[in-house]
Amino acid sequence: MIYYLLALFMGVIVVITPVLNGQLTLKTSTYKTAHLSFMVGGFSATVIFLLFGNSIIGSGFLSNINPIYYSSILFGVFLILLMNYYSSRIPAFLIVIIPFVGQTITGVLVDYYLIDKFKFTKLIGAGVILIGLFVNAQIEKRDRKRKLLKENQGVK
Amino acid sequence: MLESEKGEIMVKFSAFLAGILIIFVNYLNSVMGQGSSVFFATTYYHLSGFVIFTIILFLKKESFINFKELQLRYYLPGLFSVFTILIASFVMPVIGATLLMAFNLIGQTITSNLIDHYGLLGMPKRPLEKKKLIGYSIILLGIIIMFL
Repeated sequence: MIYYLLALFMGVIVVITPVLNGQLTLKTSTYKTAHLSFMVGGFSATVIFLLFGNSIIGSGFLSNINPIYYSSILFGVFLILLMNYYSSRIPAFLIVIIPFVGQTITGVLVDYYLIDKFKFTKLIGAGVILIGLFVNAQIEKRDRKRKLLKENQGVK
Repeated sequence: MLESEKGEIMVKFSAFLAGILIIFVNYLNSVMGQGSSVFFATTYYHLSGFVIFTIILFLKKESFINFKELQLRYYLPGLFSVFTILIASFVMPVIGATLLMAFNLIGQTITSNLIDHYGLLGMPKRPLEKKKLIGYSIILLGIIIMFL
């Protein structure tokens, strides 16, 4: 149960983060915003590590880490740059759907090949979720068009 | 192919690629956490990101952010980023990447609708359209199917 609640909470912060970062980017710049985020993150993560994770220091834990995993940050930086590129250019109704398709495909592959958590129902469920997202995107798209049309008529 | 069409495909492809990378970064952090500790994985990730963006700012000849004028709430994303990785590293090995993503989506849907409906965080107010409950019911159905 706690795992699902945490996953849900992750969704909450995943939404709030770009809202705040977007506002700050308008006031400053993309790089300054990302820099601040990693600065605060680096500081708080270090504090948390020293409080809860220092039992592993000196246990030779670094040798347990496959060097490939250190590349996570390179993908992370690339991800931030990508998000900055598309978020201001993509139509709003696609902003959730397209990344979700990418996430679903990768998520299913990771579950199947890497962590052995794959179930066929997960794949079908993800497909149904996608239909739901698509339906709402269409509703939003149509409403926006209607609004635009109304505004244009108002001008005439 | 028109230049604008090409641009549109690029934009869509980068959004798709971002989706792939989100899972990939979470996975890498998660396995790194299993080999050492999730606290180490998130510390490594943020400190190295800090170094990389310091270099980028330096190369772009931009100054650091002005802390004196910074509102308190803008410190939150950095803290949230740490929690995101801690949660993903902790949760993914137990429930899998797909379910993590599905519950993430529920949290996202609820939060973004609350923000829009009440105009929170200084965003413009956009009341919830009842028609959208159709799509949300389908999403819920999808999540129920995942558990079958």
